[in-house]
Amino acid sequence: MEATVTRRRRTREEILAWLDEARQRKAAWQNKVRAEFEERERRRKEAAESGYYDLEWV
Amino acid sequence: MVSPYWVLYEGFALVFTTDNGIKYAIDFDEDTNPYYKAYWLNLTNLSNKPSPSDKKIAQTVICIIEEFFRQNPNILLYMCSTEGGKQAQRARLFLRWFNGAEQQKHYVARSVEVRGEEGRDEYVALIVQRNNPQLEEILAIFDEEIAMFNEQKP
Repeated sequence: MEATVTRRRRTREEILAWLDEARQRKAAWQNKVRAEFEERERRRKEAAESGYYDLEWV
Repeated sequence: MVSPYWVLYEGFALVFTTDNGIKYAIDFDEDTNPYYKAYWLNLTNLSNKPSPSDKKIAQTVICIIEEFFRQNPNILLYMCSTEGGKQAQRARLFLRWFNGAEQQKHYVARSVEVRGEEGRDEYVALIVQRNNPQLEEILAIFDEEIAMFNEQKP
Protein backbone atom coordinates (compact mmCIF):
# COMPACT_ATOMS: atom_id res chain seq x y z
CA MET A 1 0.00 0.00 0.00
CA GLU A 2 1.35 3.40 -0.94
CA ALA A 3 1.89 5.80 1.92
CA THR A 4 0.53 9.30 1.57
CA VAL A 5 2.66 12.07 3.01
CA THR A 6 0.77 15.16 4.03
CA ARG A 7 3.04 18.10 4.49
CA ARG A 8 2.05 20.97 6.70
CA ARG A 9 1.78 24.13 4.64
CA ARG A 10 3.90 27.08 5.64
CA THR A 11 2.38 30.01 7.42
CA ARG A 12 2.50 33.53 6.01
CA GLU A 13 5.33 34.36 8.44
CA GLU A 14 7.32 31.34 7.30
CA ILE A 15 6.87 32.31 3.65
CA LEU A 16 7.87 35.88 4.45
CA ALA A 17 11.03 34.62 6.18
CA TRP A 18 11.76 32.34 3.20
CA LEU A 19 11.43 35.22 0.74
CA ASP A 20 13.53 37.51 2.94
CA GLU A 21 16.27 34.93 3.13
CA ALA A 22 16.20 34.40 -0.64
CA ARG A 23 16.35 38.15 -1.23
CA GLN A 24 19.26 38.60 1.17
CA ARG A 25 21.20 35.71 -0.33
CA LYS A 26 20.62 37.08 -3.82
CA ALA A 27 21.89 40.53 -2.74
CA ALA A 28 24.93 38.97 -1.04
CA TRP A 29 25.68 36.94 -4.16
CA GLN A 30 25.41 40.05 -6.37
CA ASN A 31 27.74 42.01 -4.11
CA LYS A 32 30.22 39.14 -4.03
CA VAL A 33 30.37 38.57 -7.80
CA ARG A 34 30.54 42.30 -8.53
CA ALA A 35 33.42 42.71 -6.05
CA GLU A 36 35.22 39.69 -7.54
CA PHE A 37 34.68 41.00 -11.05
CA GLU A 38 35.87 44.52 -10.21
CA GLU A 39 38.99 43.14 -8.52
CA ARG A 40 39.79 40.98 -11.56
CA GLU A 41 39.26 43.92 -13.90
CA ARG A 42 41.51 46.10 -11.73
CA ARG A 43 44.27 43.49 -11.78
CA ARG A 44 43.83 42.93 -15.51
CA LYS A 45 44.15 46.69 -16.17
CA GLU A 46 47.11 46.96 -13.83
CA ALA A 47 48.89 44.10 -15.60
CA ALA A 48 48.15 45.58 -19.03
CA GLU A 49 49.40 49.04 -18.03
CA SER A 50 52.54 47.66 -16.43
CA GLY A 51 53.68 46.24 -19.75
CA TYR A 52 54.20 42.95 -17.99
CA TYR A 53 51.80 40.21 -18.90
CA ASP A 54 51.47 37.63 -16.23
CA LEU A 55 50.67 34.27 -17.78
CA GLU A 56 47.56 34.08 -15.58
CA TRP A 57 45.97 36.90 -17.57
CA VAL A 58 47.03 35.97 -21.09
CA MET B 1 20.21 24.69 -28.90
CA VAL B 2 23.77 26.02 -28.89
CA SER B 3 24.59 29.02 -26.72
CA PRO B 4 25.27 32.05 -28.94
CA TYR B 5 27.72 33.46 -26.40
CA TRP B 6 30.66 31.66 -24.87
CA VAL B 7 29.99 30.86 -21.23
CA LEU B 8 32.99 30.55 -18.96
CA TYR B 9 33.29 29.61 -15.33
CA GLU B 10 35.33 32.50 -13.93
CA GLY B 11 35.93 31.02 -10.49
CA PHE B 12 33.03 32.88 -8.86
CA ALA B 13 30.18 32.34 -11.35
CA LEU B 14 29.38 31.49 -14.95
CA VAL B 15 30.10 34.58 -17.02
CA PHE B 16 29.30 35.57 -20.60
CA THR B 17 29.98 38.73 -22.56
CA THR B 18 27.52 40.12 -25.10
CA ASP B 19 28.28 41.66 -28.48
CA ASN B 20 27.83 45.04 -26.75
CA GLY B 21 30.54 44.22 -24.24
CA ILE B 22 28.13 43.73 -21.34
CA LYS B 23 29.14 40.98 -18.94
CA TYR B 24 26.60 38.84 -17.13
CA ALA B 25 27.17 36.48 -14.20
CA ILE B 26 24.87 33.58 -13.52
CA ASP B 27 24.74 31.00 -10.76
CA PHE B 28 22.42 28.67 -8.84
CA ASP B 29 21.83 28.77 -5.09
CA GLU B 30 20.09 25.98 -3.18
CA ASP B 31 16.71 26.93 -1.76
CA THR B 32 15.50 26.19 1.76
CA ASN B 33 11.82 25.33 1.18
CA PRO B 34 10.63 22.29 3.16
CA TYR B 35 8.90 20.49 0.26
CA TYR B 36 11.17 19.92 -2.71
CA LYS B 37 14.75 20.40 -3.70
CA ALA B 38 14.94 23.67 -5.57
CA TYR B 39 17.50 26.25 -6.63
CA TRP B 40 17.33 29.98 -7.05
CA LEU B 41 18.66 31.29 -10.32
CA ASN B 42 20.94 34.27 -9.80
CA LEU B 43 21.60 36.53 -12.77
CA THR B 44 23.26 39.92 -12.74
CA ASN B 45 24.70 42.48 -15.11
CA LEU B 46 28.33 43.04 -14.05
CA SER B 47 28.98 45.98 -16.32
CA ASN B 48 26.80 48.55 -14.55
CA LYS B 49 25.34 49.83 -17.80
CA PRO B 50 22.02 48.94 -19.40
CA SER B 51 22.09 46.36 -22.13
CA PRO B 52 20.48 47.14 -25.48
CA SER B 53 17.85 44.64 -26.59
CA ASP B 54 19.68 41.42 -27.42
CA LYS B 55 17.97 38.09 -28.14
CA LYS B 56 21.23 36.25 -27.63
CA ILE B 57 21.11 36.98 -23.88
CA ALA B 58 17.85 35.05 -23.51
CA GLN B 59 19.16 32.21 -25.69
CA THR B 60 22.34 31.98 -23.63
CA VAL B 61 20.47 31.97 -20.32
CA ILE B 62 18.08 29.30 -21.63
CA CYS B 63 21.04 27.15 -22.67
CA ILE B 64 22.56 27.47 -19.19
CA ILE B 65 19.22 26.55 -17.59
CA GLU B 66 18.80 23.57 -19.94
CA GLU B 67 22.22 22.39 -18.84
CA PHE B 68 21.16 22.84 -15.21
CA PHE B 69 18.11 20.62 -15.81
CA ARG B 70 20.24 18.05 -17.63
CA GLN B 71 22.38 17.72 -14.53
CA ASN B 72 19.55 17.61 -12.00
CA PRO B 73 15.79 17.27 -12.17
CA ASN B 74 14.96 19.85 -9.56
CA ILE B 75 12.95 23.02 -9.48
CA LEU B 76 14.21 26.42 -10.48
CA LEU B 77 13.08 29.63 -8.83
CA TYR B 78 13.83 33.17 -9.88
CA MET B 79 13.27 36.37 -7.96
CA CYS B 80 13.23 39.41 -10.22
CA SER B 81 15.41 42.33 -9.26
CA THR B 82 13.45 45.28 -7.88
CA GLU B 83 16.08 47.74 -9.15
CA GLY B 84 14.39 50.78 -10.66
CA GLY B 85 10.95 49.39 -9.74
CA LYS B 86 10.97 47.36 -12.97
CA GLN B 87 10.31 43.95 -11.45
CA ALA B 88 7.00 43.48 -13.28
CA GLN B 89 8.65 44.08 -16.67
CA ARG B 90 11.51 41.73 -15.74
CA ALA B 91 9.06 39.02 -14.72
CA ARG B 92 7.19 39.35 -18.03
CA LEU B 93 10.44 39.21 -19.99
CA PHE B 94 11.70 36.20 -18.06
CA LEU B 95 8.44 34.37 -18.59
CA ARG B 96 8.46 35.17 -22.29
CA TRP B 97 11.83 33.44 -22.58
CA PHE B 98 10.26 30.25 -21.24
CA ASN B 99 6.99 30.46 -23.05
CA GLY B 100 8.54 30.08 -26.48
CA ALA B 101 7.15 27.16 -28.47
CA GLU B 102 10.24 25.01 -27.96
CA GLN B 103 10.55 25.74 -24.24
CA GLN B 104 6.86 25.05 -23.58
CA LYS B 105 7.35 21.48 -24.75
CA HIS B 106 9.77 20.88 -21.93
CA TYR B 107 8.98 23.28 -19.10
CA VAL B 108 6.17 24.82 -17.15
CA ALA B 109 7.03 28.37 -16.19
CA ARG B 110 4.91 30.76 -14.23
CA SER B 111 5.50 33.92 -12.31
CA VAL B 112 3.50 35.39 -9.47
CA GLU B 113 3.32 38.74 -7.84
CA VAL B 114 4.12 38.60 -4.14
CA ARG B 115 2.64 41.54 -2.31
CA GLY B 116 5.26 42.14 0.34
CA GLU B 117 5.55 44.37 3.33
CA GLU B 118 5.61 48.15 3.02
CA GLY B 119 4.10 48.04 -0.44
CA ARG B 120 7.15 46.26 -1.85
CA ASP B 121 5.83 43.99 -4.57
CA GLU B 122 8.06 41.28 -5.90
CA TYR B 123 7.82 38.69 -8.61
CA VAL B 124 8.86 35.10 -8.14
CA ALA B 125 9.06 32.75 -11.10
CA LEU B 126 8.99 28.96 -10.98
CA ILE B 127 10.26 26.64 -13.69
CA VAL B 128 9.65 22.90 -13.58
CA GLN B 129 10.32 20.27 -16.20
CA ARG B 130 7.14 18.79 -17.66
CA ASN B 131 8.46 15.30 -17.05
CA ASN B 132 8.84 15.92 -13.32
CA PRO B 133 6.71 13.18 -11.70
CA GLN B 134 5.57 15.62 -9.00
CA LEU B 135 4.73 18.48 -11.38
CA GLU B 136 1.06 18.86 -10.39
CA GLU B 137 1.80 18.81 -6.69
CA ILE B 138 4.65 21.31 -7.04
CA LEU B 139 2.46 23.75 -8.97
CA ALA B 140 -0.43 23.31 -6.54
CA ILE B 141 1.74 24.08 -3.50
CA PHE B 142 3.32 27.08 -5.21
CA ASP B 143 -0.04 28.55 -6.25
CA GLU B 144 -1.70 27.78 -2.93
CA GLU B 145 1.04 29.32 -0.82
CA ILE B 146 1.37 32.50 -2.86
CA ALA B 147 -2.43 32.96 -2.92
CA MET B 148 -2.60 32.49 0.84
CA PHE B 149 0.32 34.90 1.30
CA ASN B 150 -1.29 37.62 -0.80
CA GLU B 151 -4.77 37.16 0.71
CA GLN B 152 -3.53 37.36 4.26
CA LYS B 153 -1.70 40.62 3.79
CA PRO B 154 -1.93 42.40 7.14
